[in-house]
Amino acid sequence: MSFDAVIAEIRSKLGAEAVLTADAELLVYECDAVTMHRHTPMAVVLPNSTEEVAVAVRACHEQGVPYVPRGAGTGLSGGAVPVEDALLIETSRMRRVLEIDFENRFAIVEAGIVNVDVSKACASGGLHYAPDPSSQTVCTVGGNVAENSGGPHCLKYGATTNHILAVRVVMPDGEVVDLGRADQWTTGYDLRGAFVGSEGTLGIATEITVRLVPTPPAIRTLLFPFPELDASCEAVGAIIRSGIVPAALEILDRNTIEAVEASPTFRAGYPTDAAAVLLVELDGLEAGIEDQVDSVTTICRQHGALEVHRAQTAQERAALWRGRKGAFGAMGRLAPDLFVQDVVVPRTRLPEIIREVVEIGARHGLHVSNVFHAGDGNLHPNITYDRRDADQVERVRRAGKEIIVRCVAVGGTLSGEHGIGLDKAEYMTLVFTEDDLESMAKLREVFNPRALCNPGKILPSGGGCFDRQASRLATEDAQ
Amino acid sequence: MTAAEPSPSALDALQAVLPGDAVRAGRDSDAIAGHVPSWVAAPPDEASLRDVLTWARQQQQAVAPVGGRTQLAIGNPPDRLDGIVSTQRLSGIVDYPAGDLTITVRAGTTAAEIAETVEAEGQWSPLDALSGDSTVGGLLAVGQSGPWRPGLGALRDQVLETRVVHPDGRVTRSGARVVKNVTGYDLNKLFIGSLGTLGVLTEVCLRLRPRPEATATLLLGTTDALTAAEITALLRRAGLDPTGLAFVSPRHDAPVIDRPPGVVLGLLKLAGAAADVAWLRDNISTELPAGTTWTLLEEPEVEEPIWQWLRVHLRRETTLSGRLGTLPMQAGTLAASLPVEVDWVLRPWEGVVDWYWSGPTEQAAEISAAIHVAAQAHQAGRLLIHAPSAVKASGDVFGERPPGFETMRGLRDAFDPERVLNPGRFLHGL
Ligand SMILES: Cc1cc2nc3c(=O)[nH]c(=O)nc-3n(C[C@H](O)[C@H](O)[C@H](O)COP(=O)(O)OP(=O)(O)OC[C@H]3O[C@@H](n4cnc5c(N)ncnc54)[C@H](O)[C@@H]3O)c2cc1C
Repeated sequence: MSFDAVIAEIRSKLGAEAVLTADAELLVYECDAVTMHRHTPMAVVLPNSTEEVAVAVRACHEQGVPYVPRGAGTGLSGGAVPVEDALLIETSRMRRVLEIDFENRFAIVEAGIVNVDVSKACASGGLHYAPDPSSQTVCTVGGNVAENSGGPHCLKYGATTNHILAVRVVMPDGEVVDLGRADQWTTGYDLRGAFVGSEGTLGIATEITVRLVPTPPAIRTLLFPFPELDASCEAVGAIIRSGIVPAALEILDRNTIEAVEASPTFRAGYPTDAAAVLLVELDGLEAGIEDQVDSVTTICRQHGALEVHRAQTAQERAALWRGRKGAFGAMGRLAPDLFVQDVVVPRTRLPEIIREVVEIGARHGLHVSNVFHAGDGNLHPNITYDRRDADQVERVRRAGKEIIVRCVAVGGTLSGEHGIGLDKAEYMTLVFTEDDLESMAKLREVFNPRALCNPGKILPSGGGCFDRQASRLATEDAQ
Repeated sequence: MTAAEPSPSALDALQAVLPGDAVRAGRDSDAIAGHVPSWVAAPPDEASLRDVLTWARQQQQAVAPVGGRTQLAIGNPPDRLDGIVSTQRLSGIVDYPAGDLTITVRAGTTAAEIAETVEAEGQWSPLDALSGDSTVGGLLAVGQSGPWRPGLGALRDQVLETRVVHPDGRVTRSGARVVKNVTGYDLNKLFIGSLGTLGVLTEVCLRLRPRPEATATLLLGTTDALTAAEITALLRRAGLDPTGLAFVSPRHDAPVIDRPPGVVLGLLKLAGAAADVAWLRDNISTELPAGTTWTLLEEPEVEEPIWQWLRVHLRRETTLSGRLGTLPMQAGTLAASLPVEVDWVLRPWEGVVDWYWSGPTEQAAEISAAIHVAAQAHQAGRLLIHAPSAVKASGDVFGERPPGFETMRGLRDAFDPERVLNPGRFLHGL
């Protein structure tokens, strides 16, 4: 394996400036949004097109050099961080909108486009791209595809996988293959479905065909403060059970409210005396929306909501969302480091799990703030800490694991939207058997037989599956 | 068609593997595309299903998994068929926490049973728009959505967890019983629509939705497929999205009172909050182009039978039938370009055209070729469903090889290297 040869080859075809190698330039690539995992790449390749990605991948393939796809680096599971010496292939130069078909409601975009730019590009046609991770002003659609990202509005609209019609992929051997079709016709196995959520381990997405949905004519955004966190969770269960399908149901607990309100950037005007606020967004047709507002308001009052704040203008709506979408950022101000947990439970188990999370945090003497996609049962207990304090780091780790174990015990699982990456690979055996993992390993081996594309992610190392790839690689090297 | 060589020894051997009443000799009525299996097993539980598959693999038996036998016409004729494994006895609800809006059922559970169970809790099954006697396992193996896909979403998007028995004896699970999940690779997507070639589904968790407060159906009468396309375009531009929309070509036996000859029948389903449904109804009826007639059906007793009729109509057997898929705004012109003697059901929102032709077998090849030409002109995907055996055998019923075929073959090699499951029936070469 020769990095120098690969870099020289790529530079000869894409130009010298398409590969970053200076230490100072590489430093920003040593981690993604999980600062716990760090590894500086050998070089960063900045391709400008599918063909250029293919050139880089072929060079790696020929030389047996591992590489890691990267979008904006906002991932929260260490997916875009190498575990061993590797090249990064970053999509930041591939941000074009290639086609918008308003009548058939799809757009073809390059993988490096920032999520929110897709909706901006098609707003004039009354359409938008529904998946809206809170990082949407920065993260890329390629990263969203890789993580099968969610967002507040996936309660009603579904996660990324429900909105990806086709993906052009540079396969690990450098071949370019189109998975899926804009018309959703599938012949053979649904490879597009298997690719979405594969965390950059099955190939590099370069052009993505996304489904566009009509922007609803009526939107109502409401905020309900609650005197108890529990009661807000119960209210969510009751809303779901009532038959209303809100666009979003988000809860922020007291610690989160305090962080948001203390932040000059994200302050949203949430009541600081509430134990929790429930942010509800309803959308649809003008005709029926007020009835839904009334029903939701009644349910929340029955569950003890103190009052209702209703956004009257677009600015007020934006303010209510600013606090929610900026919650992680606001917490970041509270301490040097932030551990963002992402777990999911059947939604009826939410109240009990939230109580346990609070208890676990208290027992370990940690500051836990909960802000979560309550309607989907997707929790984000966030723990602020200082990584220089080894004891604290250990307590964060232990609490993080206890939360996972409790969620799994009530039928939940490891991640609702942030992915496994290298952060949670070791926990995969909590929810899957060796046999389950072997099926996953089979899928990966078929796409990525030499394990050069983002090695060391998703599947636990040390287990049978990962060893299989490692030993295969060793045999190939020996040959 | 030649029946599989009767193999009493295989049957005897299998009887040693399974409880007595779970296996019997194959009969003519068990045939798939003319191949009569020598044995039929209906394992009572997942463990015995696994035993059958491991045994079959060791004995190099070719096995077709079946559910309700409602969609066996889909697929190429098998290369080989020794036995059938039925999931019929693997049925029933495993877990139904209504407050979670999820239900976990065994693969042999019928769509009707699921619908009935969840309707009692005021919820809607994602299989609701499909035929009732189909099993959930069979529906997922085929992977086709019903006519309410615009409102309910594609079937693939409603599957949260699957359990699958593989020919190597592994019983695996992917996903979880939660509505949002990115824990590991999404293998559910691979199994859906794989026609049972990667493993046999034994259990499935589905996402449900609340039953809407109100529903209504507008029965439309229009002249032809192009006008149907025009109606579709009008609704899309106006943001008047239906829950389901299907246009049926004039020769049909729909239970509608007013059926002047030569008229294309449109079924437009609305569902949602009562005020929304009323508003949509009013606005859609005023948007319709001149010359389009409409009747409103609001009571479930009159609304339900017409959709039930469509479900049956969609999967009726004719000399030739098939399905084409293209972009929504091209589907109308695609239907319009089919030979005049071909009947169709156009679902423009999804870009799907189902087509049917009955006539002398000798003409079938010609009609099929004409459809092929129309499909190519629209870059449509195609699936041939019913056809005389010679026509089926003359090509791949799934059409051209898709991009990524080598990867698909790699997956088949990885999960079923000996081709125990449905050899020959899925894409040629898989
Ligand atoms: C403040 C904040 C808020 C967030 N909110 C949410 C949220 O609400 N919901 C949510 O789901 N996530 C959220 N995230 C997580 C993160 O933004 C998403 O996972 C996002 O999709 C990552 O996109 P990215 O472009 O930054 O990808 P990166 O971090 O660069 O990469 C993520 C993974 O994708 C792979 N990858 C990237 N591009 C490609 C490509 N073109 N082809 C193949 N693989 C590729 C990488 O190898 C890596 O494994 C949040 C993160 C932050 C920091």
